Amino acid sequence: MRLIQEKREKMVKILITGGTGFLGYHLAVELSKDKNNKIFLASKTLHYEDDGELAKLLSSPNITLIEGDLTNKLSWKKVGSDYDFVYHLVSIKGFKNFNEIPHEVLRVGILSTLNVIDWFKFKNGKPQAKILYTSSNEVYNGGVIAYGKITNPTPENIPCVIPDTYDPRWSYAGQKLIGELLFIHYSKAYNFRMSIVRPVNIYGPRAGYDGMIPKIIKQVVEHADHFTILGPEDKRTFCFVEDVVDALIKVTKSQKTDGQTYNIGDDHLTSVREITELIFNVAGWHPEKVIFENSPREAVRNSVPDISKIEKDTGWKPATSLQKGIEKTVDWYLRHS
Amino acid sequence: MSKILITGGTGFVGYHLAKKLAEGKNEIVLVDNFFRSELDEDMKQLLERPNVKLIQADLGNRDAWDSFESGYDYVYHLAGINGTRLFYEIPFEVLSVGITITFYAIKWFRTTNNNPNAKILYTSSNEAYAGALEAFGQLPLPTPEDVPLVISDPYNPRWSYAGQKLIGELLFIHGSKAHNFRMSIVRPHNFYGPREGYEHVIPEIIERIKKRVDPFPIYGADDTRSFCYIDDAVEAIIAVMESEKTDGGTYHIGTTEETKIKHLIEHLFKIMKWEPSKLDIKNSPKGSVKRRLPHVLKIKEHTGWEAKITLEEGLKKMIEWYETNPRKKRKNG
Repeated sequence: MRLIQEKREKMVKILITGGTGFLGYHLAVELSKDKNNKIFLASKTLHYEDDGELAKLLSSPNITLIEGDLTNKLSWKKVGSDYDFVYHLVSIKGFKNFNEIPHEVLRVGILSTLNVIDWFKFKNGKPQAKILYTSSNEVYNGGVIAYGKITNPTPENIPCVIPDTYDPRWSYAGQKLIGELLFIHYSKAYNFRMSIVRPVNIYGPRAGYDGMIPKIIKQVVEHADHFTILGPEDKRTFCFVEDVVDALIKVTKSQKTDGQTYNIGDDHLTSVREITELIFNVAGWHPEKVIFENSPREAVRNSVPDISKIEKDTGWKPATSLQKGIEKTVDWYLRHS
Repeated sequence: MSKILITGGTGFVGYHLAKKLAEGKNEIVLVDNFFRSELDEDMKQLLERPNVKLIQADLGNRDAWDSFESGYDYVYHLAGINGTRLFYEIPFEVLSVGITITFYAIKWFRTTNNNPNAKILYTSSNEAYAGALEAFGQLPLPTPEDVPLVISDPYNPRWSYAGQKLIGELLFIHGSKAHNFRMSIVRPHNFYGPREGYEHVIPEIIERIKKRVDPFPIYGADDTRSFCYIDDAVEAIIAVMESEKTDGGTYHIGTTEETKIKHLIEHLFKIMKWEPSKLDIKNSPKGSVKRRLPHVLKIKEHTGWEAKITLEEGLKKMIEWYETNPRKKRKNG
């Protein structure tokens, strides 16, 4: 009896909304390594066709999948209560989706956030629990485009901007922006623990096929005759997903971070041309001809997140070199093509 | 005859809008929960008209929407928690109520209302773009509709109202495109007039003049606003709603006449025939913008509307109302 009690005390119950997506999957993998963690992934559908790895994750004894539409209040009954940590990751990602189904990007982001907050405060029933909200650098990217101004490196306390209400591209930014306001003002009013993070340019295995790096790798895999690179001189930072996962966990576990917003990202700029060449080298294939095209949309160039706040408060900083991260990423995509 | 629904129908704009629409051959339903407004004499009088009906309901409750019937031609979605004091005191409610009822309004409008030719009008606010000045030190004046919307600091509760209006605009724009329904967005700029409550700049000044406060405090004497009388404002809202040219568009409503707060107060001294012996010039209220001046060419071009009532005329009518309706103890402040 006593043994069982001690075991219970050590058990940490964790909820990840959007737990089968890119970031959710990697977070769950990392958290599942600790056998004291009991992890629940809440997700509407499996975001990707099962690549075998998700099935492997779901077969872990400390992982449970809760299928449900998180925009529907009724689904939250299935989630239950008594969680110690909640990672609220769910949202519709990808520029293609922002432009094609902005109303859904808005609806899913906002309603799942209203629901998770309501559930966390009134149904979870654990006053010491903490919830983490993943926002995005998209909330402030609009400032660069609208005003041509960039504070580099970019700290957390800068304005959030929607440059054009009619441009569907900003649907994602809009719902993240309002999510931040909801978390900030609700946590103050109802006195619960939360932190907000804004990850910048995450890459890694199992990131879908819509992002820049997966698109380049796809062309490598297909040995594309006309290899196209968009905006070769645009510079970006790249942060490996395992480092981001580490940051999410550190921010969530810390008390110092309560009620605060943190940038998560790498602070080194790499040009699209450089990253493409690195991928060629790692994959061991070079196209005969490379076509350089201008970036199709207004891209946010040369923006670097200021990561001194998270380093100061949690000790986190990115640990994976670009070479190492690209190796792991290319390897995964080559094995899954 | 048009069947019309007004959410937030007993508030400042809602009341005047309903009164104007009731003059025509319209059937009008007002919905409100009396969170800030009340069933006062004016409202009772309006409700005596055979074509005006009130439903007391909480729009944040999904089930309430089922009681509104269907087949409305025009829906004016005005409901929201307004008032700067409340932005600071209950930012979460300002956000959650604004967002939730806008979701419900859109869903109800495109499904239950079941009238494909119907149109819905959303009242946003100049607050949605006002943050640009604080954040970037720049805002074109007069300000056109297509400026960026800015939340200069998510932690400042002052921007709770702006946040929910900003997201309301996105929900209407992208929802109407995806689901193919008719809508317009308007952004009011400093509407004033009778029955606007007791917590706005002009009613507060009127109260102070009536109390003969001396020395007389002036907050932000050189700040400017462009005041738009409520009768003009209501005409603009109806003009945007009833036009087809405005479908899908966003419109600023206001006047191009910029008035310094100290000149506004001088006007009021003159009309109320009193002057203090001394002025006490103070800083602007916290979070207040220095100048606010909308570009109103777009609404004029598309609907022909422009403001007609002079500040002097409007203030006279307003003072008359406040003389006979002094502030009394109210349930919400």
